[in-house]
Amino acid sequence: MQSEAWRVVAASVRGTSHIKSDLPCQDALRWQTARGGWLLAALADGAGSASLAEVGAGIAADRGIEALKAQVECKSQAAADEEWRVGLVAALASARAAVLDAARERKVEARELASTLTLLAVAPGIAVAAQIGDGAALASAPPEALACLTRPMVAEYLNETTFLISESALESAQTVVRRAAWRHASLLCDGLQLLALRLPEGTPHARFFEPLFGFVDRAANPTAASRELSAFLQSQRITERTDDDLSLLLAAYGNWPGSGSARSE
Amino acid sequence: MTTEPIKLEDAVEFAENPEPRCPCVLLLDTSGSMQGEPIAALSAGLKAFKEDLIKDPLASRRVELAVVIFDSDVKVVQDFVTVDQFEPPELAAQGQTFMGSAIHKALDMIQARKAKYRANGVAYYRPWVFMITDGEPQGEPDSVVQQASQRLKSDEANKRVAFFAVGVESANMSKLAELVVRAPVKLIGLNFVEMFVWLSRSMEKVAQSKTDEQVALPPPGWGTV
Repeated sequence: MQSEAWRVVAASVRGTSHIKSDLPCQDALRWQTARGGWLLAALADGAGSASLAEVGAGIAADRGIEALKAQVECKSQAAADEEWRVGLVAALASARAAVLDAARERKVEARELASTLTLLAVAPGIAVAAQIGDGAALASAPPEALACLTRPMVAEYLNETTFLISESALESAQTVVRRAAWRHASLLCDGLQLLALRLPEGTPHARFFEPLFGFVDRAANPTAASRELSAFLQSQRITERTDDDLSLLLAAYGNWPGSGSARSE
Repeated sequence: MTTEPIKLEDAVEFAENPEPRCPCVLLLDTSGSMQGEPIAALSAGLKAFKEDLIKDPLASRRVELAVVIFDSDVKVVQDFVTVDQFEPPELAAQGQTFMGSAIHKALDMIQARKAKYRANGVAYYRPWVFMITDGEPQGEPDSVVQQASQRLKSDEANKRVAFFAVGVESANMSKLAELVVRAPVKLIGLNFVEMFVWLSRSMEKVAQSKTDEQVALPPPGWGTV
């Protein structure tokens, strides 16, 4: 008998404006599964104006997911919401400290390593998410529609947001704990916000996500599907609407034939 | 698998959000001293600006340009339009340099434009004002100039605008530096075309997220700080 597992299709691609200005992809997207039916994911979007944005984003995502893993390993899913929130802030704080340490080591201003950070841990009965800056974490428990767990932080200007290294980052962080029979989850960066969410409310656009989750449900080979997703994110239909780096993670929980536990590269 | 594969490019639909906007006011000195070669070079620069900006499909939908000229008067020769509708004006030079009133006008226009965006649910980027002058404030009461400068500084501090100043030829650079927050740039010769191409490229990058905005123009190649 097969046991149920998370199937993950994810891609991070360099935006056309980054190609033009010879900047690397400054998004860092990480995910892994953990015992207890957990899927852990982290997405950091490096600030375009920061000279080491991709380094900062990488550290934030790596340390963020590590700290998140420590939280799900030491907590019962039944733990009180408040306890989870404290754990989420601790995970963000750990990622923030790692970025500030890296800035000191490299003798650069912390803002040169500026990035956002979204963390998501989801298991069939519980989803916890935390976010500093823009981007979004979403999940659905059918028959309920997909909903945002975290949403873009609304600032006056579209391209100015709070970063992990900001003084007030931890105080302004969103932390969310929701309990439901989660089957689908997603993370996306700010470059996709205009296409995937209805703004300014920040509610998911169903006709964006439904075909994508349908695609994941049928993706017998998640690696090939991730390549296909990557090609889609670089297609003209998308790049004529947004020139930013794009990252998207789509996950589905189910009883997949031939599925084993997987881990991102 | 028996199920049909899904072709993402055909299947996925996008949310219909209004295109975000980036307002930019060009504040141009057309006082008498600009007569001759400088004003002709500035007019040519504006054409180059349009030609370069329109090549970028996203920027040409997002950037909204307005042109205000100042001499012994302050005139809006182009209210906010997207680049495809932008007609680079032919400029003529005459009169004095009402710079203070011009700064007020640019800040008024920015304020009104943002209110309009908000009323229509349009997301936007931080507005830019790009002022070009070959002189210093002239012909206005000093209080008007001081008031304009204070308002500009307060708007910069409150992140309402990013205000850049460029000095041409005999421009009084130290006076300019007193009036604005970001270090003014001195144009090398009459290199307006290069300057406007740089501005166009900078506007194309506007969607890239920013951290700290209280910076001078990056070393542009067409001028000196």
